[in-house]
Amino acid sequence: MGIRAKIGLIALIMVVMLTGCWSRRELETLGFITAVGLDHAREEGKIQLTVQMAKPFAITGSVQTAVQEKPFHVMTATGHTVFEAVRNLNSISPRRPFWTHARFIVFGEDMARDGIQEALDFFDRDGEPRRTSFVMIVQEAKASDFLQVEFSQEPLPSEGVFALLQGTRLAQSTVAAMTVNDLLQSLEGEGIDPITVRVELIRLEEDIDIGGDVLRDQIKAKTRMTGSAMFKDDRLVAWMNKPETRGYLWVTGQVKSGIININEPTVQDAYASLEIVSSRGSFKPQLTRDGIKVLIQVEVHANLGEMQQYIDIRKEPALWVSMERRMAEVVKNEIMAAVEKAQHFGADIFGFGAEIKRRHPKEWPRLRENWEEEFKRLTVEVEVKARIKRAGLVLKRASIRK
Amino acid sequence: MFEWVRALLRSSKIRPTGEETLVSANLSINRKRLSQAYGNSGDVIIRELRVGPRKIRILLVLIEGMVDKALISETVMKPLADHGKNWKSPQQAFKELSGSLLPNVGVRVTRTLQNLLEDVSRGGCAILIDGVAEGLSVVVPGWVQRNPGQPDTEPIIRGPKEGFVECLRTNTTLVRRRIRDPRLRIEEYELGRISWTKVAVLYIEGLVNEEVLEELRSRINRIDVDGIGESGHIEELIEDAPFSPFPTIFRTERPDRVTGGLLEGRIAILTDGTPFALILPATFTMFFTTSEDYYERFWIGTVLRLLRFASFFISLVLPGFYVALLTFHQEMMPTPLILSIAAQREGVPFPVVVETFVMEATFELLREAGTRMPRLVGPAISIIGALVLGDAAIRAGLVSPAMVVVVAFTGIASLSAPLYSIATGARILRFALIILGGTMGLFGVVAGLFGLLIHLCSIRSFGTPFLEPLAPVVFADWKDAMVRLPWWAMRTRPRLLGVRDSVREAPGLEPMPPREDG
Repeated sequence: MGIRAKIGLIALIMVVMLTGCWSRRELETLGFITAVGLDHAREEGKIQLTVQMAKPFAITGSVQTAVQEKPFHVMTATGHTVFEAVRNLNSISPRRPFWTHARFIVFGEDMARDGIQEALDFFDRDGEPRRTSFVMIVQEAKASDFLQVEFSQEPLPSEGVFALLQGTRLAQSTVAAMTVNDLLQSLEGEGIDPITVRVELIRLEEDIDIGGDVLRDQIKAKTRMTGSAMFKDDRLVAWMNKPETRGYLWVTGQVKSGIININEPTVQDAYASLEIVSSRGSFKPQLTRDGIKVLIQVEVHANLGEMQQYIDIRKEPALWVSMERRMAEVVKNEIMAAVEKAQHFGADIFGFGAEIKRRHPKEWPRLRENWEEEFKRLTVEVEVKARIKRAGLVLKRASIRK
Repeated sequence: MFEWVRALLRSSKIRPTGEETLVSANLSINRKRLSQAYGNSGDVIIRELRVGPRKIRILLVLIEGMVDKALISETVMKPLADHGKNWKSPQQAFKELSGSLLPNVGVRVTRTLQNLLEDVSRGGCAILIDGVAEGLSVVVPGWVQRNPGQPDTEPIIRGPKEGFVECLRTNTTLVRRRIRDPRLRIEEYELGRISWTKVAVLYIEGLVNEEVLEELRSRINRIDVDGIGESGHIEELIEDAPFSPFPTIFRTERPDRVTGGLLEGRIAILTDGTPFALILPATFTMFFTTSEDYYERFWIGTVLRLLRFASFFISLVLPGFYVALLTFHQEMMPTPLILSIAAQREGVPFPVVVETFVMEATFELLREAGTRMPRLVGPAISIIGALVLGDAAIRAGLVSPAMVVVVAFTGIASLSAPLYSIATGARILRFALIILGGTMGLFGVVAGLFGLLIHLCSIRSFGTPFLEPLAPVVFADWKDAMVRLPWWAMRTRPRLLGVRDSVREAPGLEPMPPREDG
């Protein structure tokens, strides 16, 4: 073994020994942040940071006595910047706040209306928080209140909210969600405005106390997901309800599944539910002499999921076609509602501008100057191809024989 | 770095044995010399007979327990008694004895006392006649020996239940019975200045690579030690990578494995006094096979091999990986999992790396105790091991349940290795990876694994790269490495260094429905 090898070996040993477990973090010294809330603080110009931290020993594990305890803990710190507030957390939390497991960041409505850009910089710049956390806006409440939300089936509220979000997206497609990364991209991009999750707070009792470390056995707040929050730049401008949100999702091709209800023609107040199985959506801006025209093309495939009226489909093929037509109508109405609302507030959530920039890069600089006005003025043409593929397990509904 | 080890080893010199002594015509002198050589050992029988009318003095020397007594009286004593009366002179007696009277196979006529001594020590009977300056020896060994039974270290469900025993001749027979072609060669050596251990080198002429064989011969001839304890002793003296944690020579207790190796053009070494045979050259993938892989259906052989590779990797990496993840990369685990582990670690007073190291060491301790303890105290070990160290340690909050799961999983994975000697390599390296993982996180674990990979790529076993056919890639040999293809698809012998006569099967052996006529 040569001198080089010897030196190499010594160096190798030193690398192991001299690092001294550099940046080692023992698991039990960490406080896992599962959700983050941001609000205006009571003091002028300050930011209030609320975090929900998991209390692992109360989740499962060997300590039997702790099961009645809530497995999370909410704490608040303020600062002129998010980072200052984050460091202020250290003075009240015995466990080092650990950011990578945060499922979502929620903004209070007040803060969202005033703009979220300043608060977002920390989550962009710092290495620990994940950009895959979802951004949510809580309607008519503070984010700190929202972090008190609980579920009776799910010990950790953050997991519950996350599951709620995924469930709503998959089963209904009535919520538009953006991660921190998506949000930053749409803020950064030209001709596109953000749209993200709107959550509602349902208070079950009056007194909600921030602090969270008190042992409570009653759930005081619940939540539900009822659409989206529309942004103009980084400011919240309007709420979108479920159909409007799905209108947006149709256009951007994000509808995964969901239900379309149509009224049956033969009987009043009887409905048929169609289950969306697949959809494709795209839009094409065209610059015409009359102004900008956007052609929206949506293709929907659905299965017949439920029929409240007795109809034998085999005997009435015309009905099948008419159901498809009415389904297309519903989709079109949802799209128009979304477009109209967006145009009213001048928020280009669809990214029409960005698409124009891509397709007509020479025209875009001219349009960009006054894009908000252009966006409000543009006309939209919607083409919906709707098909109903299958009728489920029966051809006709079980009827009541007379 | 290891020079000092080598120097230390070199310094222990062996005392050379004595010079040649010729057989004297005077029986008393011979007798004196022989009894001096054995120093009045209790098991040495030196008996003088006076045979026939001329009272010819005949000396018999043998060691009790080493010879077959019945055979001696049948083949030596009886001829002496029957023909002794006809003998007129010692010369005549010697001539008749050495020429025709002794019906045994191994009769040797020699002029040196040393040769006689050697034969006596090998279970022979030396015959000296007064007035003849030559000696005779008849080798009729007969000692206590166990029957070839199912090998304890390599049990299988389907396949021959015979294993090697401690007797070399029985072992060579076990192989010869499976390969009857005369091209099976058995070269015998005697190693050890004091122990005189017989070692047999087995190969099939025409299949084996001569260069490898020549290299092996020269390495065996280099061996100059006082005694050979076991085949492991030879292994360490002839292997290519003496400092590697992994063996580069395969060892087995099974004659069918040796047969399989020989048919692949490998060489086997059988050592007297041990049931463990050596097979070389050996490759890494060989250590993950069992002979059953070749007897059971190839699907299960394939799946089990993959499982064994996985379990080897787990037994090597899992604790280090666990430590690295929990100490440095908490962000890499799914939220529910990390919270669950965090909950379990609540109140555990040691850092993860210490906890893991101690628990792994404890497991090794239990395992060692389980191997070495007298069978009678077995239940005590399981109570202490399972109840005290497992259950009570968790209840006392000294270790986390997840840790015990990791240790147990690692232990099972380690024990599932078909060959003990490859698992022991992983056993030691596991601790190195725990330390690397605890100091440098996943970077350390990966760096350690890379170092190991480089090492494995660099070593050879008698000219064959240890990682063949994985590195260098030899696709033709993948048929019997990570997977085991059906027999009819394994037409060629492995591409060992300079393999000869590579085709071993006729083409088209795959069973098929009979062809239509015409």
